[in-house]
Amino acid sequence: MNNDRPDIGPHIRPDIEQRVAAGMHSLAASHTPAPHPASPVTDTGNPRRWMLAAAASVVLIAGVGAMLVASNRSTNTTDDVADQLPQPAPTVVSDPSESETVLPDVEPRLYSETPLADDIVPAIVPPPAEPINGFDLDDDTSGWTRGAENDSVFALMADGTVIGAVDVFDSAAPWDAIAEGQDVTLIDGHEVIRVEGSDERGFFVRVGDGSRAVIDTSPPAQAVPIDTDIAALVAQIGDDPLDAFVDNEQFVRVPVDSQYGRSIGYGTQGAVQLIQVRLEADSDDDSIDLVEQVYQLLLDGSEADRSSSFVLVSPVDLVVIIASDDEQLATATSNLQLVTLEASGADFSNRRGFAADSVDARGEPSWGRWQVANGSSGDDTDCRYFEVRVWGIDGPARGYSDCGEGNPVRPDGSEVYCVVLDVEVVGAVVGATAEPAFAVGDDITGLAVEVDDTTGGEFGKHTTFRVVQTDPGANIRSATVLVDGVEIDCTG
Amino acid sequence: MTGVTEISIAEGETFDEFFAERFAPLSRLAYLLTGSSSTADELAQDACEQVFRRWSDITHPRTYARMAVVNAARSWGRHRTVVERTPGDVPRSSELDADAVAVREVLEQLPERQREVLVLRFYADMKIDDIATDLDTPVGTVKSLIHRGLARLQEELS
Repeated sequence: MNNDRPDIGPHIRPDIEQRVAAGMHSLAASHTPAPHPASPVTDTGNPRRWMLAAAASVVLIAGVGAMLVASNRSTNTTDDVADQLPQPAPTVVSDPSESETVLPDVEPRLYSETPLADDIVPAIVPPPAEPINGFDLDDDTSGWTRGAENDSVFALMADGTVIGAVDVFDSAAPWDAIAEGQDVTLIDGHEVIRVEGSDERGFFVRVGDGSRAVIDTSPPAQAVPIDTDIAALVAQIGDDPLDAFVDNEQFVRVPVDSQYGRSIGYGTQGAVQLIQVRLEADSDDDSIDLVEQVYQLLLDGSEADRSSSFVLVSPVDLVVIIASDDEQLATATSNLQLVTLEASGADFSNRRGFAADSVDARGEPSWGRWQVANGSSGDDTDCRYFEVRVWGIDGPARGYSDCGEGNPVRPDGSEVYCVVLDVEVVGAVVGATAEPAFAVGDDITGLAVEVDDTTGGEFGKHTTFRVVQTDPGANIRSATVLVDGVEIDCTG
Repeated sequence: MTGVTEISIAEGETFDEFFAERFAPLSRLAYLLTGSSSTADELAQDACEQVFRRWSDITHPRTYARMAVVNAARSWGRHRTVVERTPGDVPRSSELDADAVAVREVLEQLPERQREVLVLRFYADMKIDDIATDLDTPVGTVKSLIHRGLARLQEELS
């Protein structure tokens, strides 16, 4: 070994930096930004998709459909599987507690007489490309910090045809937190706050001390008018339970189980995408037709240059197939099969984002919710993170600490978590034996610490803190947070 | 901040002018950080909205917007629970030169902090000290991340 020189890793050739820079600029140039983005000057409504259900996150990221998915894993039992696949081929995967699982030789099938079980998915056999983005939405525990329940989609109808879709969900956000600083008006006697931004249009409605969102997040081409149609939906729904809604000529509640959604994409070029939609149990042909209309409407708005089709693979499972062209679509449709998760080739276990396996601590101060949980994120299956939701219809919404990174463990064994949002820092001390003291650094101006009462309950003792701007010009990222005099890094 | 490349708001510059000039570069920055065209526009839009809300308070809107994009891309990366890549998001390899394809493939595989550092250094053309300041990361760490990233890229480019 040459001890004259430290080991600094491989030598970088002189031309590499230049090639990397050129490659990045070439890659960046291949992306064509929106030619006419909506300026915040003219779209001053809520810029933040803060409370939209997981369904909406699918729309925003995938541009597919507002009602595709929500969060919880299906509660189907493995008993269902035996009914789905041809006999005598057994399909029930052996006891997961066994150290070695021997997969049965599953014969593919296109239609199941019963709802698909958790371990059966629609897939293309043979796959057109490597199945790279299988996912299974399973964040029922982390959904607590979403604060959205009863996700529903209402179709706007005209002469029996779907012409728009509106998301509705009940929010955990207290009305007082939502309404602070906002203009509150009345629709049919219901207090509402109007929201109109580039990505969402609608109202937050007061429901007792809580709130309900009635929001359209569909592409602009399918935008539902706020002051007529969405306002009409608000008047019809009011503060009644959503399942009490009676369909009429103007609005129909789309019979999709929003607690369920799975998908597989093929190839890095996104050649083919399969999305499994779970219909409600009593869906008939008219219901299926309605769901297909809603999907087609959204696909027309967001995936206009793609081909798509629908295949019913069980009485309640509809598969949306999206492909680059008609030829790929035809091939994918003819090769669609029902297979086990393993046989699909998609690694669902690694595609759950922050699917929380366990929650270590939670708090619900006046400004929002937070939790410390363990779960998985991508390849990281031992992810411990701090997740926060701040109530409001604009401004900071959600934040997350780095996954798997250690947090300071204090002398009494308690831990500190924090995260920087747009205009504030929020955090918690979990498990402290005495109430901690909080401060910002001596040289910091324009920022102040607010401390929430220490609380106990199911998750033990914790104290929540929040650093806010007392001067709107103060840089929150410069905040130095001291907990019992020890500086905490909240920047992640 | 040392080695400041930021240009303060030009006298009389309006937000409209800032938006017209900066949206596309911010979107491309977001694209490099996320690999998603559809998400890139969304993150750039959000960053511009943040700038708009604080237009009268911030002195370096470009730095502010750039870091807003970096932070938003980070959050997006951690919570893209659903679709990893929208169909049509990724340019076909045949449309890119070989180096760009290699860069894309390496960026996709790198840890988020290393990806941020490389993009800020070689796309945003930021100085190492500035990257360290903006990311609140020691200069030595930034240098190390760049070196390791270049080593990885060198392998791919070869």
